[in-house]
Amino acid sequence: MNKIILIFLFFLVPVSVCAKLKVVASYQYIASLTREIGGDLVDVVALSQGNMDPHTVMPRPSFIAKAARADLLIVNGASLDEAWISPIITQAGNPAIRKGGTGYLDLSLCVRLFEVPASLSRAYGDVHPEGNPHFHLDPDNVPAIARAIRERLSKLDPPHSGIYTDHESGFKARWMKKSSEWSAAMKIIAGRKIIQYHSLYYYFFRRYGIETAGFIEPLPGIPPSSKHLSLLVGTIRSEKVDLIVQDVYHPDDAARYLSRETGARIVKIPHDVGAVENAKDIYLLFDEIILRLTK
Amino acid sequence: MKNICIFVMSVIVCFCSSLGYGADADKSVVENASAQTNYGKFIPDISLIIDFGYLYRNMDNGSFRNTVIPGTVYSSRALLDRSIYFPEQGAGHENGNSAVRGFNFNYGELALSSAVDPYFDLFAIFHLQRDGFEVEEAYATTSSLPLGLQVKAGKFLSSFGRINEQHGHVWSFFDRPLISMLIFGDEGLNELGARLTWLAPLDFYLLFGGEVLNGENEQSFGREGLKVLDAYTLVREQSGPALYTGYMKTSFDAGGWVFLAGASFARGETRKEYSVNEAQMTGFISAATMVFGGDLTAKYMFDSYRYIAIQGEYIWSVSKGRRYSAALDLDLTHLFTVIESPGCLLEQHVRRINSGLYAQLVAHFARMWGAGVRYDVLLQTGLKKYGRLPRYSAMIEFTPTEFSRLRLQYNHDRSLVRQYNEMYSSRRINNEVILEATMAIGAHAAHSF
Ligand SMILES: [Zn+2]
Repeated sequence: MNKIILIFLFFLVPVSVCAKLKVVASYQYIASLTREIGGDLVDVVALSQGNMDPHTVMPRPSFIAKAARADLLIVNGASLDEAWISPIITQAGNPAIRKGGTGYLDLSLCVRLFEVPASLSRAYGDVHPEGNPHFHLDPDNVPAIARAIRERLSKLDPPHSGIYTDHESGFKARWMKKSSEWSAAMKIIAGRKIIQYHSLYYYFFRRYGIETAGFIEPLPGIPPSSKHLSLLVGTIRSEKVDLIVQDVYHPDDAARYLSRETGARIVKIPHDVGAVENAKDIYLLFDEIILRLTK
Repeated sequence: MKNICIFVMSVIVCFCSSLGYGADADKSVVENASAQTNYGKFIPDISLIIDFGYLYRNMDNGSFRNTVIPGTVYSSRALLDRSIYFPEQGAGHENGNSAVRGFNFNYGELALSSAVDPYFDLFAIFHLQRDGFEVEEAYATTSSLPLGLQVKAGKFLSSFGRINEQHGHVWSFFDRPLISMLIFGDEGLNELGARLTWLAPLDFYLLFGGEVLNGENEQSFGREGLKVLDAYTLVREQSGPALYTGYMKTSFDAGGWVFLAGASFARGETRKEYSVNEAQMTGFISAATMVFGGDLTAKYMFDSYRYIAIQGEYIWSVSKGRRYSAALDLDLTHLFTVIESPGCLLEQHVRRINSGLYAQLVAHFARMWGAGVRYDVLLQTGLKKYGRLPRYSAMIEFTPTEFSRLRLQYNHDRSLVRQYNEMYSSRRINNEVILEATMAIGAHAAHSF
């Protein structure tokens, strides 16, 4: 009987001695950024699809299988992915990727969060308790995220830390160049006021000096009532809003109603890599957002 | 016995290796302490769920209380009394889920959970009733065993099948499927014991699990002994765990669909006293029961808020053993005093097969709206003369947020029988409409598939 157990255990021993570092990312933008830093040295998979609501991802059992064999799990954090990632971590039984483990990286800890609620109650909707978690949409936050990923990859794979550092500095140089292009392009609409569905693009619009005059959802996670929409019509008129920013996953009937009533233009923009066809990586995500806004 | 040895050995092997592993894990926790800032809270996650509602039923409360779903392992003649389902039903019958016409407080659920240390997580779920507070689940799980192994120990819902492990508030319908009710009772297979699972290191989800449980289920399992006059042992009491389960679950994604399939097996001792119609007859069953189950769930997401989900489960059980009962109209407790006259004791061989299935389709067709239908049927029960015993259900639900839900369900239930005496019973048709409200506060509940 002992022999059988020994043979059984032998087959369980991982044979991947010189294999690539396995990285699992909660969202597509994280996976894209990790590919920039890790290059060929890492195997990256993202769990959620880019065109889905990042707040309500359905955890599939296949996520558990992926997380179980990961060397590194990178999450957005700030309670955006907590509700669907934590059961994955629990069931994966992989000690490395547990909170506090070397293979667990929470990106929300390397940026400053805004819109931190003064008081917490679900009477105010499904509020983000730590602050707005959609920080990756500020291009100025992306280098800090890239750095956190580089540091962790280097720590898990010290022999290649030089390569990761090279990748990061190359990425940063390209990113700065792109970022100044984006700033130039965004000048056209600077100072304008917009309406968005959820405070999804808070960091993006804050970066480019664009004010959000109102939200289609009356409270986070709560769909609009007709009363709220008629108030918004008033806001759009009085604040002279001419852009209604619509994400790809919420129904757009409310935006179309507002547009019909006020003549404001609807712009559907991606929020994550893969949300629309052209947003194929982290650069193209911002290219596409800015192209659509400034068209 | 061999099975226990393997189980115990593998637990020990895993635990030892986890301690070795733990030394490294510990260091990393310290190193990362500065980077991980949001761990100031040592208060466990706390959540409270309250479920209440309104019920309309065509049968009055008294008639409903006198109906039964025919057949469990106890006796080919005996019917399963509904008081087994709702223990307080005899007197304070208002305690069960939608037990009476009118308003019902179905249950409350208070859940606490937290990491204990780098090696264990602890969970406790308390079931609250109008005048009762009981430990529904209280268990620890390991968090740092290597090789994809995980151990759970304490009091917990068995992973047999699909619906058994889930709490009522995550079900798509208000009530437990008939076959689960018939084989595992109103509270499901909820046992004291330990579980070992192994997640295969593959690209798809493949999980194997085994449980060693005490085996004290209200319907199918028990480990009592039968002793007469404190001297003569008819059936020995089982000293250790009397129930073993094994299961396999696998999942794959295919073209927008997510499939989850499982196969489960349980084998346990059925040594229980039983009573039929309280005063009339008491008996004892000493048997071995095997239960087989298969389940399949398929889900298709149209977008972030709309999906369809198909779920079905088939359970088949067989019990083989002996039944002791008093001959004629004697009560078995009387028999204990007249055991010297052996003619009074009936010893019979019993072989009982129970089976059934449910199949349901749920469509979440809008962000806040869902609807579903369920076909629920007992295929083999104690009373052959009724054939299949079906129940048809339909529901529509309104979920303003993930923290609240209102559900309206209609049941056309043809599984109930009114028992007049041992020989004579008649079928009763039950139509009921249940309005159910489920509200949750506290920690954000983990999302599940
Ligand atoms: Zn948000």
